[in-house]
Amino acid sequence: MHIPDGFLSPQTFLPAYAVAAGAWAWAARGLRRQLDETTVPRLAMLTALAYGLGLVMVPLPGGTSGHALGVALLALMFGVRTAFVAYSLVLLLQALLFGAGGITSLPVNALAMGLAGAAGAVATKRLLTRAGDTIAVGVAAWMSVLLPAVLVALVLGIQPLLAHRADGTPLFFPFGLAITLPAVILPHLLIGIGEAVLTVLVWRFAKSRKWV
Amino acid sequence: MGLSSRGRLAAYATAAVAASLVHEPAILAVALACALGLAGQPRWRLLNRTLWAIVAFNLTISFGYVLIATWQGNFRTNYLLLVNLRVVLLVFLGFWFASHVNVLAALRGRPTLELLATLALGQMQVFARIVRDFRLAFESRNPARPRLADRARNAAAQGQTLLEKSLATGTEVALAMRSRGTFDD
Amino acid sequence: MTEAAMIELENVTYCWPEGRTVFENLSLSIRSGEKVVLLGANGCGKSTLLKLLNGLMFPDLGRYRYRGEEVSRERVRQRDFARKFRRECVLLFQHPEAMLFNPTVRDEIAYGPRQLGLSDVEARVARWAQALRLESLLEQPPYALSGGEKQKVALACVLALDPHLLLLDEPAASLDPRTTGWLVDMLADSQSTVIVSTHNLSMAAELGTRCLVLAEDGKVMFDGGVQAALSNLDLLEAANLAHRHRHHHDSVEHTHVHMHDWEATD
Repeated sequence: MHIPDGFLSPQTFLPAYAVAAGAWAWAARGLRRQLDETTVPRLAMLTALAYGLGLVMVPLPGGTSGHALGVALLALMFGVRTAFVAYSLVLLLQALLFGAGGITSLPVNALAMGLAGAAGAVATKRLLTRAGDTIAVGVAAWMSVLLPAVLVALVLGIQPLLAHRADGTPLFFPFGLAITLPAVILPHLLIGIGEAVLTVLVWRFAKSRKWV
Repeated sequence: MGLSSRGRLAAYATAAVAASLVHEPAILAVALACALGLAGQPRWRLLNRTLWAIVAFNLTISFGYVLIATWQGNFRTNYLLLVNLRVVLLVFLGFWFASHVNVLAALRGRPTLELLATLALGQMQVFARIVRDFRLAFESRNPARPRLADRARNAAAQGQTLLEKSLATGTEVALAMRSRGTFDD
Repeated sequence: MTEAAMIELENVTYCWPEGRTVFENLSLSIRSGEKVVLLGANGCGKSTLLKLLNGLMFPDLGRYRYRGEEVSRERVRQRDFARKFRRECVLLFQHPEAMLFNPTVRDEIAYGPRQLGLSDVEARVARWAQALRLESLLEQPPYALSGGEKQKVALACVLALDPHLLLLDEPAASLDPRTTGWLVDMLADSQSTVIVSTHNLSMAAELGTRCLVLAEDGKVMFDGGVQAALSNLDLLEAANLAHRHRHHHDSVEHTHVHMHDWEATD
């Protein structure tokens, strides 16, 4: 789901950096309030956890698999702010250290997956608390994949409108919403199920250890 | 080149924005050639990594564009050249930057961020090794094709191990930092 | 190359993706039933060699043959070969928790035999649980076990397949002394071919027969009898398996080559 470099217009990523900067400031302020000597090492380890979870391949029917996202687990266990900061750090380190993932697409990836995904998971679990843990956590994880997919599809799909030549030729991502919405969302409906199964199983483990 | 790490980061960011403001394939091609020239001996290795990193996504987008635009009667070769050159240039710049800059040095002056990044990076390597080991061990333990449920449990075991290690290591690191006087006034 | 050669490596070169060479032109042959100890300092490539022998990594150059058949990436993907190879050739990982993913210890040990559709799954579980004193842990989830218990469970998992080739990566690292003693006896009595990687020199001595010493650049520095390797102090020092340090005997100080877990005899 990560958008690579080169497909987003400056009209998208420059304002996205501004929005993301505000969101990072908000998240950091919240974390700083609870700052003690354990916060930084814990956040560092959770950043590594966000990275590690992204390496786990979630099995899908048909023998295929997709990368896990892990943001639901992070958000449900440690809060939206922590999940967002950890995720953003992973994207930053991946872009600057491994050259993987884009410097121009970083704010959109961070906002979509790290913030919307995290917030969506937490909000969904709160709404479904009465349905029991398994359903609440499972649907929350599914939502944490679906919501970013919708956002990414929207951001990609408006590129031809935002940046094009006089004759309508796109300058960045070439497909409009009619294509991006189904093309991105449909596979993620399935990937979200894999993410839900993974998240529920790890959540149960965390509960057995009394970490949640 | 003599730039500091921060200077290189600024140069990379500027180049990335500039590449996004240029819409002529010829200019992007020249920019890519210059980048290749300036990159020195590792240029072909970096270019190889770049091409491997983008091939799947770019081929899909390019192929899709050819099909749809042709069907719609508005296919432009110029677009294919533009988007692929831009992506190659941006991703190449990213790999070039990553190979040349000590990111931790670039964060000097922001001690919390520097510490976060240092600690995270060390643990990221450990976690990458753990996930790789799990993948190999699963392959090793499956004489027959594993069922979906087995694959799911294996993925969950990876998540559980990573979670457990991240919590335990966070505590250990905090203790070690305290022991070394990091939190003393 | 002999008829009885179970494993043959022919001029194998293997490099990490980032370019570092692990082995270069490595050739060796291991006969069925041999007990081989793989010695070498940390980072010299022991674990990588074992993974290569288990068909999890593949040579960049050269060939690996198991019972005369080449073990290549394509061959391992073929279901009939994979089924036979993965049953006969098993690997105990250095970090055994990477091997464990089933809900209980019982399920963990039963996993491989069940996959193969064997008829005596429960008997195998019972046998190896008893041998490794895991009976009281059979209904526990593996993640709740200690490091040593996890290592015993992982060992039971690979032994439950009755393998022909047993690859063990630092098998005694977390084991208690009683279990270590059991392991040494079991391996000595076993008909299987065994390749054990260790930097525990006293365990190496008890496994007998053959020893391969890997240098820190991945080359084979020595291929011969275990006793001959362990009494060659210069070899052990060169392989970073022994060190020199200042030593006091009464009031006399001298330096000599020293190993903390093995006493070389002439």
